[in-house]
Amino acid sequence: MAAAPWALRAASFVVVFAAWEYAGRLPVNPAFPPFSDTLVAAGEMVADLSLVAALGVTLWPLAVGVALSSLAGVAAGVAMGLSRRAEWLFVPVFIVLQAAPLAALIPILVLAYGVGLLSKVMTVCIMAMPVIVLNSFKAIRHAPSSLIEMGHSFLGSRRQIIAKVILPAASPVIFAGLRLGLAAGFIGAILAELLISPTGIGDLITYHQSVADYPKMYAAIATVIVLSVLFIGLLDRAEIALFRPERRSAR
Amino acid sequence: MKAIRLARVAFATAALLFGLSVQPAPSAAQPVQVSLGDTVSVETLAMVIALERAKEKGVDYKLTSFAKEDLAIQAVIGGQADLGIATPYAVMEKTKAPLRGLFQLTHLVFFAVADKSIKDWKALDGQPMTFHARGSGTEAIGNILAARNGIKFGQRNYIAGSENRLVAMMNGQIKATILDLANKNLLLQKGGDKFHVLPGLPNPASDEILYATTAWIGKNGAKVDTIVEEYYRLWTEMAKNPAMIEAERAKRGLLKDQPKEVLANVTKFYTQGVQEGVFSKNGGGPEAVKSDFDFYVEAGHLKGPAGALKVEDYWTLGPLEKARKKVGS
Repeated sequence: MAAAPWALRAASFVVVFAAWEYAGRLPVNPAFPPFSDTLVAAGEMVADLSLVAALGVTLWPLAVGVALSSLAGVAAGVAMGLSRRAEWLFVPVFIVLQAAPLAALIPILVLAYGVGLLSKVMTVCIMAMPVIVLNSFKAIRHAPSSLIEMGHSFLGSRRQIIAKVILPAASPVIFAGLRLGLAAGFIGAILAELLISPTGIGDLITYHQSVADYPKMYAAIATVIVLSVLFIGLLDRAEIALFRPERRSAR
Repeated sequence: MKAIRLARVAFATAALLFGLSVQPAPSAAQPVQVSLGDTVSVETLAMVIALERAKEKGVDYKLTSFAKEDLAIQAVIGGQADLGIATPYAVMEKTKAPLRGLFQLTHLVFFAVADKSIKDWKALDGQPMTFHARGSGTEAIGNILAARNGIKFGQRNYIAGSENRLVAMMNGQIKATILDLANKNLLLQKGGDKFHVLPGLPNPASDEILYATTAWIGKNGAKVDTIVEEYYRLWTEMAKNPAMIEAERAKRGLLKDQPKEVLANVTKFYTQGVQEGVFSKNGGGPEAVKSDFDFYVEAGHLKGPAGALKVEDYWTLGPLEKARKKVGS
């Protein structure tokens, strides 16, 4: 029975790829290539290094944006969770940012930050930051009061209660926010490359679309999805290794 | 067993997701769906007037503007649109999509412009060059001109829109680029002392063509004939008297939301366009298609070799010949 989860996971991939292959072979649309063609195209793009070079370009604003959003976002969320004043001051800003349609904001970003790296980093931050901040804020605010009271009865200082009670209790939801933030950051990075100036993976998508090389276009899109899933998986592992001893032993 | 049931549910869901992208083709009673890979503006006005005239002859239409030409082409391939206005050669070859050209609307009339410090093509060897987008018509022209002049460009930059490249030239951010007719004229008018035009290609290839799927052409012969005839009629009238476009626009109340200053330029735009050969004079034909093959193979959009490509695999010329006989030249 131990192999069952893996078998089911593998089965879900097989089913989706089989449906993709079938739809591509019908074809549902001459511009929709089968899975096998897309895989071959991805192989070609890895071999000629165009995919690797493009990823290098795309990952740069993504990494800077996500790192900034994670550090500043968790700090801001924790501050808002601990202080009512910080909450009143900042929560509305992040709720508005989360609700704003990013594609419509891009012209303003370009106006303010130009067409270079900075506007792409800002796009990633606008996508990733609100979800990280709001999750961190809720996580801190909803730390179990019984545990906090226990800390008080053991005469813990405020600093001790925050470091040893509130933050550990909040960490699962903070990490959930980071995972969502990372996924949103990927969306932001690709949107920026499609809407501001075509570079990296965004350039591969638009270029192969314009010369009608659809297998390569879908390979570029699929690469982003695979990479996003891989990074989120890695973050999950990191969380378990660093903060969740109970889940580590359960494995 | 549970796993098999789960797999079935997953397969059904995935099939539904992929299947949903298939749209039923509109029935014959519905208006002809036209997909335009551009906004309706002064530049595309003549194309809309021809459709309006076809409507008066009983062929109703509905025009949809797409943000990108590639999406407009995909709408026709996917069956959501019947007629398209774009450059679909690469799509025709690579996807084996059953698309056929019907009428050549415009030529790729673009001009390589440079700062006067760059005297000729040779001086551009190894220098940065700015195009509209990777794989675009402007880059195709640049590649061919570079190859014919025995040079290689240095860094390639991309700025979408001739009007934006014009601004970059005026601001001194770039020293050489390729502009459309209107913006080339504006550049020389504003900075004729600083900029000049480098020699271009003698026979420009097709830019926008009217096209449809073979299935739709087969089922809608009468509609195709009427539409192609109206395009041919308007294009021959326009070649004789470009000012008629503004008269037709005013008569039909088109582009009413545009400011007066923009509308004041309609006649100028079409007069220059006819003079410089932006608008096709005869809607194309076998010779024009063959020269398109040469151009797009050289530009890398078609694999070729150009001599091996067949006109009938890319164009359905019957309706155009009928229109030519009926309207006369």
